[in-house]
Order: sequence, then C-alpha cells, then structure tokens
Amino acid sequence: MATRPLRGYGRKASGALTIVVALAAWELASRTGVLPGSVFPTMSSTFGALVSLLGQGKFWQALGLTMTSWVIGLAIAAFVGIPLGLLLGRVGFLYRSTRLLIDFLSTIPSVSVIPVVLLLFGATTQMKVVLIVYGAIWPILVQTAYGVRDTDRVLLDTARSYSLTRLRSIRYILVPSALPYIITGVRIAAVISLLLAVSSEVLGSAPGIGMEMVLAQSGGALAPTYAYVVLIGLVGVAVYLAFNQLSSRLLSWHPSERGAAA
Amino acid sequence: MKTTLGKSTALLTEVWLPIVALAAWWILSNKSTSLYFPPLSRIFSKVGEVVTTRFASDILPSLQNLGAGLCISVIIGVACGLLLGLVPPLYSAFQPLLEFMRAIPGVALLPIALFLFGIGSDMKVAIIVFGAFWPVLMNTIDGIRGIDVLIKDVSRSYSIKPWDHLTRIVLPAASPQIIAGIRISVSLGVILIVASEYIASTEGIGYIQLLSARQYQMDVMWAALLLLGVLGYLSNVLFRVVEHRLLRWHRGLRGTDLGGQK
Repeated sequence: MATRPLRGYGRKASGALTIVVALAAWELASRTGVLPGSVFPTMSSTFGALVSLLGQGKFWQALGLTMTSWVIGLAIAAFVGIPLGLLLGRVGFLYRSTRLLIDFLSTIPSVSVIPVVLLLFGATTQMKVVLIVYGAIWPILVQTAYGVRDTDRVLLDTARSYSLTRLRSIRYILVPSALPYIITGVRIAAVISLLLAVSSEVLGSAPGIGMEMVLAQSGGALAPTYAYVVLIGLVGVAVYLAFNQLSSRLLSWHPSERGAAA
Repeated sequence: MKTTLGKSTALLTEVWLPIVALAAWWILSNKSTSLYFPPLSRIFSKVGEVVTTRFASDILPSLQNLGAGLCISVIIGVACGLLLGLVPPLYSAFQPLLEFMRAIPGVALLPIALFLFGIGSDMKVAIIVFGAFWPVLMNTIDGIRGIDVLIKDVSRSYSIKPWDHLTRIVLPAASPQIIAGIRISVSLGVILIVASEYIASTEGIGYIQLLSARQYQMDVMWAALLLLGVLGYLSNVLFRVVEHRLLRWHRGLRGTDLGGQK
C-alpha cells in the first residue's frame, strides 16, 4: 500500500515533466525557425504577454464579463431545465410527446443561433446569456428526464405504500436517484456554456475575453493572441476541475463514488 | 388489430407536438410584417431556393469540410488513443497536457487558425480536427483501459499475435466507447463548421446565414438556420443507425449478461 502514493507522485512528476519538455520544445522550435516566426510566437514571448495581460485591469474586466454571462446562463438553464426534466421524466405522455421536438432543437448547432440573437439583442451580455441558456438547457433537461425514468420502480412503489406526500417522494427519492444524471447534465452544460460564451465573443463581437483575443489577432499581435488562447484553456481547465470537485462532493454518498474512493 | 392501434397511438404521441408547433408557427407568422419573424411559408420557399440553387456552391463545401474534418479526427483520435491506452506510462505522462489542450474551446482557436492557414478549406478542416478529435481520443483511451484484465490475460496465455490481439480483442472491446466518442465529435464538428464559416469565409451554409443576417434578409437567414438544424439532426440520426449496426453484437452480449433484459 505504501507504493500507491509513491506511484501517484511518479505520475504527477512525469505529467509535469511532459509539460516542461513540450514548452521547451516550443521555445526551441520557434528559436531555430522550425516553427515559422510569422505565425508562431516563441513560448517565452507568449508567456511574457500572458503575464503582462494578468497585470492589466482591462483583461480582468473582460474575463469578468465572460464569466458573468457564463454563470448567469448556466444558472438559468439549470433552474429551468432541472424542474422541467423532472416533470418530463415523471409524466410518460409528456416525455414521449416532446421527444422529437427536443431531439431536433438540441441538435441545431447552437452557434448558428448567434446571428438571430445578435439581431434581436445586439452584441450585449443579454445576447450571450440567451445563447448560453439555449445551448445549455438541453443536456440538463434530457439527462434529468433520463435519471428520473431510471429510478427504481420498487422505491417509488415503497414510497406510495408508505403514502409519502408527492413533495417528499420528489425530495427523498426522485431527486437523489436522478442526481448523478443531473450532475452529468450540468457538467456537459458548463462546458457548452463556456464554448458558447467564447463563441459569442469571437463570432458576435460581444464584450469579453474572446473579443479581446480577436482584437489582438486582427491587430496582428501574435504573442497576445496566443496568450489569450492559453488563458481561455486555463479557464476551461478550472471549470472542468471545479465541476469534478462539485460532483464528487455532491455524490459522496453514491455507490459509484464510494467504490472509487475505496 | 390491437397492436396496430397501439402502434399508431404511440406514433401519434410522438408527432403531435412537432406538428402543432409547426402549425402554430405557420399560422402566427402568416400575416407577420415583423422584420425579424417573416412568414414560415416564405422561409420554406427560401429553403427550397437555397437547396436548389446553392447546393454545389455552399452546401456541398460545408459537407465536404465536415466530412474531411471528422474522418481525420477519427483516424488521429483512434490511433493516438490506441498508443496512449496500450502504454500506461505514456498516458500518465501526457495526461495533464492533453487535459489542458482539450479544455480550449475549438472556437477560441479560430484566430490562431487564421494565422496558420489563412482563409479557406484548410482552416475549417483544421478547426474541426482540433475541436472534435478529443472525445474520440479520450474515449478510445478509456475504452482500452477499461478492458477486462481477464480478457488480456487469456489473450496472452494463448499467445495471440499482437496484430490479432489489437484488431480482434482490443478494438472490438473498446468500440462501444470509441463510437460514443465519435458521436460527440459529430455534433462538435457541426458546431465548428458553422463557426468557421462565420469568420472570414466565402462559402458554406453558415456563410449564407451570416451574410443574409447582415443584409436583413431574414427569410434567407431563417432558411439557413433550418437547414443547419436539419444537417445537425440528420447527422445525428445517421450516426445512430451506424452505431446500431456496428454494435449489434455488443447489445446481444449485454442482453445475455442481464438475462435477456434490455
């Protein structure tokens, strides 16, 4: 058992080493001209640009705008999507009736809604939020409905025999049993929301970190453009890790998580 | 008799809502003079117009770039996934780097792709590959790492040749996961092709949509949006059929495992 943490450190070390080697290779390749300097900045200049961005109020303001629309959009999608999903999952007729419509609406590539919301709301945070809600609600809705339909029938029958009130059986049976699905849905939605927030800024010129990146690119500022890409990637990693944490916290009671911890 | 009745009511429950929604849209928009919401009848006639007159010039390029991008994504994804899945130390070394690169939303790379490839098909295909190959890669790795140790041991004790081991044991065992990954890639690919056609492009369905939105030709804009929806939906349905075919053996196997239950 003592080897386990040791091997864990070994894994982390090898992972860190790969990143260091990749960064060094980048620097070397752009210095020697293997990567053409006209389209690839050196690693050091990219990270220099990144550090100077971190010192600018403008950057933090743009990041704040991006993350605000992300949070609001995701929250609205969850507040609407989860109850609606519970309802659809519970009422078979509604589930079957809405299936085709939801299938179609959810497969419309969400970025193609950008021109529509852009015309209706202009390049504003409101436009971003509407877009994000549209794109993020489907996975939440569909996963929640799935989860409810996957609830053990015996549990529901038991609840009925003990004459639990409807509210209680939702609280104590349906929601816990659908929770893993709901969380999966919200996790997918969180990633989609970030994609859409950045897309609306890159493609629709809404204010935010994506627009700053496009401005840097159209100004021919190579290193800052790459620095923005790295920063957006880091935001993506942060979102991913945060939701991993959240799900293992919320599902610590669930057999799958307990099994994984043991 | 009874079963046909049951089938037709089942079909009715599935289709009544989409029909009602379309009819409501048709009636409500029929006399519409709003700039943003033209009559549905006019949108439909524009759909016909776009499909007949701009198939070769815009729809075909979209489909070709999408197809090329997805094929390359699958080939690279499966190949790299095999390598990383079969060699655990390699995987643990590359995992953090891959997690970071994967977290960059594909659209965020558009500015860089413009630097690297300029305007044109290459840029679009590159964007699709970079954005859509992650699910294939990650799912291939997961699928291979999840193969039952017993199966690997049996294969080794019968000293099955490496090539046969790969093509007859590893790939089939991982195929359900790989196909699930490809499915995510297909929907990401559709999003990214549209996104890449919005930015500095001269052809494609997304281009038609953006251009008509800029010129306030709302009927054409909605027609293009509908076409993109149909493209997204059809690619999903098509993929479901392929998946059903390819994984027939897998379902049969699982069916017997679970005592014939679905």
